[in-house]
Amino acid sequence: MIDTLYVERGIRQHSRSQAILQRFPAARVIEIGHYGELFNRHRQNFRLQKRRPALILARKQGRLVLPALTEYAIGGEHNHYFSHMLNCLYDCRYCFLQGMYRSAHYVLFVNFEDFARAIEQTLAAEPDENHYFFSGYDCDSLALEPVTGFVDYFLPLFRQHPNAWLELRSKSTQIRRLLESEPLERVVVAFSLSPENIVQALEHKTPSLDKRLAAIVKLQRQGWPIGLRFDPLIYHHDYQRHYQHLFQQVFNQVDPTRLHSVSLGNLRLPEDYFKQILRLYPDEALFAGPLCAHNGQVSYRRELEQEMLDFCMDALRQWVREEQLFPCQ
Amino acid sequence: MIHLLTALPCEARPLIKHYRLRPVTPDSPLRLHANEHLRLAITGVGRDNMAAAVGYLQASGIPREQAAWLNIGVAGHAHKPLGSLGLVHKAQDDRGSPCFYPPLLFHNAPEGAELLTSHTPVNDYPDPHWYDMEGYAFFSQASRFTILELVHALKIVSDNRLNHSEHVSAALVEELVAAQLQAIDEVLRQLAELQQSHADITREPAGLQRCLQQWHFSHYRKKQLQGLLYRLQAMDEEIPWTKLEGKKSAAEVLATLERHLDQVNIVFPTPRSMP
Ligand code: SF4
Repeated sequence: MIDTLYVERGIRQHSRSQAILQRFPAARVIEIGHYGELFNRHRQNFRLQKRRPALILARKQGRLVLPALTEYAIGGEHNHYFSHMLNCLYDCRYCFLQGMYRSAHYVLFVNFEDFARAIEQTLAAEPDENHYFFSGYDCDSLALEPVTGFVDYFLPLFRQHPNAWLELRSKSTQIRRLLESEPLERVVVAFSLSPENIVQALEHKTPSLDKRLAAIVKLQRQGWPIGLRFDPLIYHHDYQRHYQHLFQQVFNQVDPTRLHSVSLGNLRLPEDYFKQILRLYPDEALFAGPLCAHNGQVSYRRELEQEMLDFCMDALRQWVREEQLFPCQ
Repeated sequence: MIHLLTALPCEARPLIKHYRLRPVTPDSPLRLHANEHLRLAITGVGRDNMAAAVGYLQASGIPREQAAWLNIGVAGHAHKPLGSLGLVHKAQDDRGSPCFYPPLLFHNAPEGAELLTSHTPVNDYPDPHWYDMEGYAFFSQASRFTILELVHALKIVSDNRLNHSEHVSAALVEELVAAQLQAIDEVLRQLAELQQSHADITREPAGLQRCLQQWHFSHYRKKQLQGLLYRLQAMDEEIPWTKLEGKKSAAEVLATLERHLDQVNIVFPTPRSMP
């Protein structure tokens, strides 16, 4: 899967780097100074690189925990995100990462200890408040779990702090480490779901809807709080039938009464990212849809967005209580 | 088209023979040989010659998005056996300029080589580098003209601590390059495939030229037209030429295409499992 590893000189001896290097004994290993030297370089083609991304092992510097966008909120007031990885194993055509980064290589920041420290400092700053941390902003939280060991490291940390919540946002079925662990009510495993036709047409390399549902069911049975993320909602001909069918499929298997949260999101891309993605995929049907630019964001027309949101919210109310529902505006 | 660059005639000879390249433009300042898919330039030794040759090839009329670049040449290494082949995965120079990391998208790529381009010959070959005199200039020039994925270098060890560079003859270099032709073939094949993918991504949409010939589009409107034609293509829709007949201006053409597109459904095929 990974045949090239770039390693920052400064973290080559880090135990996590060493373990990962051992995992890929046949890979070529290239030492670098700072990941930005190659990751941020101009004149790279994300689409071509996506065919064979390399893994870059790096140290995250600067601010490690940042304020999260309000549309991520799932009931909490203090929302933060941290990115132990940049880029994703999967290749969803609507993903903003393809417009944000010049390179499709995966960057893994191995200094988890520094993230932990930053999380603890954030918690200590307002110890009487609940803090929500989101880890799947610049990557899929679980997709590379066997390589990163993210869950292994961070679960115990969140277990220790009663005011710390974590959302793992994923389309992955890499849930073994979670199943081997005692569920924690403050760690929400949030699965992004789309109708199967969208999965097939736009969510390349991701597990099928059936496989994601099977993973959800296993985790839910074991007691893990589950979040469902219908995000982004994708407009297409007959979308109502496809989303209605999706909700049926989901709630035939998933117990809605035990869900932590269900959120919906619109397709929104910063205009600059959108232009960049369009350059990479000029012939992509998704971008031929009724999109328009407004205030630096590209999205479906306002009334269409609202129509889709209203339809899906109404449909979901058949199964989900109002307080579980979080429509992102 | 792939631009192949070698510093020395003896590096080029096996390639010219193998790929049946014919001399071109006898009055050019560079020695050039070409066939339908490859254009080989013998640049002369050193970074200035390499940089000039890249510039010359770029100016020779092949559109940027239709070209990939490959430097093939000999190099020194501390202990690798003569004839070892390396695909450069990191290139730096002896002036401390930023390194190049060519993205490696090849299947079964040759061994990786960390190249150090030196402006003077290196005799002690400190590890772990491969040493040459023009590779870095090749990367820094060629990457100005295309994406990094399409700029690569293959190096073949011609000298090491046991066989110093003063003993390297033209005949030996020819022999060493000839021995790697199969591997070079494979890299060229995959590079051509990548170049084609890039050309496909950047290809202008069908119908663009016909529209530009028929109506006058400003630069801004041309961009809009391009976007609309791509959208039609993405939806597998024909260009509605009959609706465009009689339109007097670019604005009318754009409005007609917009209206047409608004009526087309975006369909993502329904999976068989769905009732
Ligand atoms: S799973 Fe998420 S992060 Fe990964 S490609 Fe898809 S949208 Fe992007």
